[in-house]
Order: sequence, then structure tokens, then C-alpha cells
Amino acid sequence: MNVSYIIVCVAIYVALATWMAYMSRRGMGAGITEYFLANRTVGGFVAALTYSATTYSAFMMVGLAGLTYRGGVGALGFELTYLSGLVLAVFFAPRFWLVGKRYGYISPAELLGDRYQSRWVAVVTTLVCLIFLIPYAAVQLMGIGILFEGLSGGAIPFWVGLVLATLLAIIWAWIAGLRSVAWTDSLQALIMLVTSVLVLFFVVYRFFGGFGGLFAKLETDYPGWLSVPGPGFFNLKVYIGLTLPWFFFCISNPQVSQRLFIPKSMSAMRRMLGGFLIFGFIYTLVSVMWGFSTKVLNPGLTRADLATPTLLSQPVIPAILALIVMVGILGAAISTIDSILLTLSSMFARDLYRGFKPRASEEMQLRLGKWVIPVISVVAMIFGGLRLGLISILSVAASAGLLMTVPAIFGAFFWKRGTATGAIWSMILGGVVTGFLQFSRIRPLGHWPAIWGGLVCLVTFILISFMTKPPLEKAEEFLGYLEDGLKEKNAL
Amino acid sequence: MKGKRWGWIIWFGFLLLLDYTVPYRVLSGVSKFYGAFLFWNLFALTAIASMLVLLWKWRD
Repeated sequence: MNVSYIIVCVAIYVALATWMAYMSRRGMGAGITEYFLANRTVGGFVAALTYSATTYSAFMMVGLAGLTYRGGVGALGFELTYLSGLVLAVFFAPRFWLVGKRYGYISPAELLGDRYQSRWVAVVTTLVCLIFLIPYAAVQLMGIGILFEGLSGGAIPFWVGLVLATLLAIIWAWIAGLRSVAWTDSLQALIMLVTSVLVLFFVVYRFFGGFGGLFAKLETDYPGWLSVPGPGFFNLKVYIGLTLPWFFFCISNPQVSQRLFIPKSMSAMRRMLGGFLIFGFIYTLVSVMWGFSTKVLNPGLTRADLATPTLLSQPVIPAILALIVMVGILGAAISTIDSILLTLSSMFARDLYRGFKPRASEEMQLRLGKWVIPVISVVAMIFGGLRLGLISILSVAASAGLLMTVPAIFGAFFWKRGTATGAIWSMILGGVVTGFLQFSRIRPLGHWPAIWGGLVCLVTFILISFMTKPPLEKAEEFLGYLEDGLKEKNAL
Repeated sequence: MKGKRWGWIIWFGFLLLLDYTVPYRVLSGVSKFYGAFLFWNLFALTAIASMLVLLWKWRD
């Protein structure tokens, strides 16, 4: 594709999103809650779009389409299992929201630290998130690099896409914190959905005469792609290994669970989650159908994560459509990265720094948080530059690591007996086991790292909690308040 | 409230059990549109509808 078209298209998109980011500053107040949570006053529509854009990343149109290309319909089951995991948000969202407002929590790590009455819980949670989320952010940056390189036929080198995506994420997170992130996310979510649906319909009707034609072709030429384990990739152990961490994604990933603090009311929260469910279902179907279409049109690719860039660079696809999808994928990646940056910087300032300097002023925390944004970005960029492995597998590795915070989160809301020591060691041991298995590629009994790490994490949390003293007074007060609040809000 | 909570947990647990067993045990030999593809769509729509029911009960 002509490089000048790509540059013009990206320039228009960047100008529009940057203008929106600046517009979001209007009426912005001061303080850390304002910067990181938009003062907990986000309406349902914007909340739904920012939640969707943060959750769905370049992984969908690049990684999930690639997984479909490689493994068939199992990719659909995997992603829809993740979506059904939103049931956890239905249970946890009112709880996060209620205690967030009452105790003034900025981050999920702060919530855990206060509930277990230990700053070390907040510190360890933050470290786990930093260790595992940086690769996840790096995967998004890699996605952009691969996309630009593939679309331009190598004329735009991988590193240009990588650096561009990093700079945009920094700028849009920096301008007005969550406000600019949420507004640019909203624009990007709309672009992601509209462009992907339009282009999918074009491809399916242009090449197969409709969805019936696509499935008829699949049933004839690639029948294995319509069942599991199908071509072999999605055997049951792989499926469980992939779906388990993703099922818990909405509470284990702090950039997503932090969104549970921001709606202005319960009805805004309802619209946020309901809107996301509808968005997620459509976007998942589109990404999977995109993978199926690519399989039929370009069956001989050696790398599955090149499926999307390869299809888009075909001469039969009109350049304008390919450009539109490219912008949609760029938006999907950046909206995830800037949210991760903002969340990690809030955790760094609020939980890590304050963990060691409890008397640090809010002003100092905010200043530090802003400066941490570019630092984390550059680390992610360097990691992304290494181009490690298949994009989707790296993404799942990050979710597997963050899964180690889940027992402590469950314990905080549902188990008075849970202790700080149990929470800390569960995250450390679970994280070490997951990291080791991921790094060494050892799969005991054929199961993936998330299974073993999760098991070690859960058992450690329960055993150590029974052996140590829980903060019962705090637990009674915290859970008692929640019980009353949930009754009033008619939430489960 | 606790009884209702457990009722919903059991319902979602049942759906999740179907999510893993039906495509891998019942539909593994059905390489058609109406096999695992249709099943996972119906599974997701049922889960989404159930969640929307719960969300619409919330009060401000």
C-alpha cells in the first residue's frame, strides 16, 4: 500500500484524537482523584466505550483473528468465555464502586492494602501488575509495529509503528489523565467497531457472496476449523489454559477493574457493563469472522499473526478500506496502552511510593504519577522491540500472571479470615511459579502455567491465612458496610 | 439475598460447564456452522441476557 496514504490517514486520526483529548480538559479540577478517576463522575455512555476500548486491544483484530486462522472456532469459544467472565464484574462492580467512594480508593491495589490493613499488600500487588502488565502493553505496541510493516510492505519499518504508538499513548494519557484517556477511548471504540464491521461485510459479501458462502467454503475446504480440537491447536488443555486467566480478566487486570471506580452512579455502571457486553459480542464475532475469511483467502501463511496485515495488503482490498481498518486497530492498541499506563502510574505513585513514604502529599503522588507514565512507556517499548513469540500467547501470559491477584481480591470481599500475609505470599509464589513455567516452557501434565500458578496461589492464600491473624475489625466494618450498601442498591 | 446470590452462581456455573463440555464432548465431530460455532454464540447470548437481567435490577 502507498505509504503516503498511510501517513495522511494516521495524521487525521491523531489530530482528531488529540483535539478530543484537549477538549476533555474543560471543567477539569485538581487533585489525584480528578486526574486518575475523573473525580468518579463518568457517565454511562463514555464509561461503556472506555471500558470496551481498554479491554479490547490490537489482540482482537490481529491476535484473535490469527488464533482463528491457526486453530479455528476454538478461538471464538475462548473469547466468548472471556466475555461470559463479565459475570464477575456483575458481582464485583457494585462492591468496588461502593467501597471506592466510601474509602476514597484510587487503585485496586490500594483497596487490597486497606482491606488487609497492610501497605505491603498494596506494594506487592503493584509489583505483580508492573511485572505482568508491561509485557501486555508491549504486545500492543508490537501489534502496531507488525501492522504498519505488513501494510506498507516493509516500507514503514517495525520500529516506526512501535515508537509512534508509544508517543501517542503517552500524550493522550498525559493531557488530562483519565478524562483524556476516556474521551479518546470513546472515539477509538467507535472507530474500532464501525470500521471492523464495515470492512468485514465488504470482504464477506465481495468474496463469498455473504456469510452463508463463507461457511459453505469453510465446511468444504477447512471443516476442521469449525470444530474443536479441529486442526489441533485448541485441544482441551490449551483451551482451559487460555480461558482460565481470561475468565478472570475483568477483576485481575487493574486497568479494567479501576474502571469500576469511575461511574457517577449505579445506573451509569449498569450502562457501562451492559454496553460493553453488546460491544464485546459484536467485536468478538467480527474478529473471528475476519480470521475465517483470511483462512479461506490466504491459506498459506507461515505466521498466524500476519493474517490481518496480509489480507489488508492484498490488491483486491480497496486501499481506503484497508486504511480504515488500520486506524481501527491502531486505536484499539493505543486505547489499551494509555489506560495501562495511567493505571500503572497511579499504582506506582499511590501504592508503591506511598508504601515507602506514607506521609507523601497527594500533590507529590500526582506529580510522580505523571512522570512515571513516559518511563513505563519506554520500558514497554523496549520489550515490544524484542518481538518475542506469537502475539496472542504473550498476551495470555500476562493475564496468567495477573491471575495471581484473584484469590486476594475474592478474599477481600468474601472471606473475613483472609490475611495480609496470605495475600502477599499467594501473589509472590503464584507469580514465581507462573513466570518460571512461562519462561521455561515447561507444561507439567500438559497444563499451562496459569493452571499451576493459580493452584499454588489459591492454596497458599488459604493455608497462610489460616496460620496468621486476620484484620477482623476492618473486615467486619468493610463487609458490613458492603452488605448494607448492596441491599440498598439491590445488587447481589 | 444470599439464596438468590447462590442461585445465580449455580446458574452461571452450569453455563460454564456447558461451555467446556458441549463443544469438546458432544460437538467435536460436527464440522458445520451449526456445531461449536452456533453453540458458543448461543452460550454467550444466554450468559449476556442473564447478566443484563441482573444489571437491570440495580437501583441508584
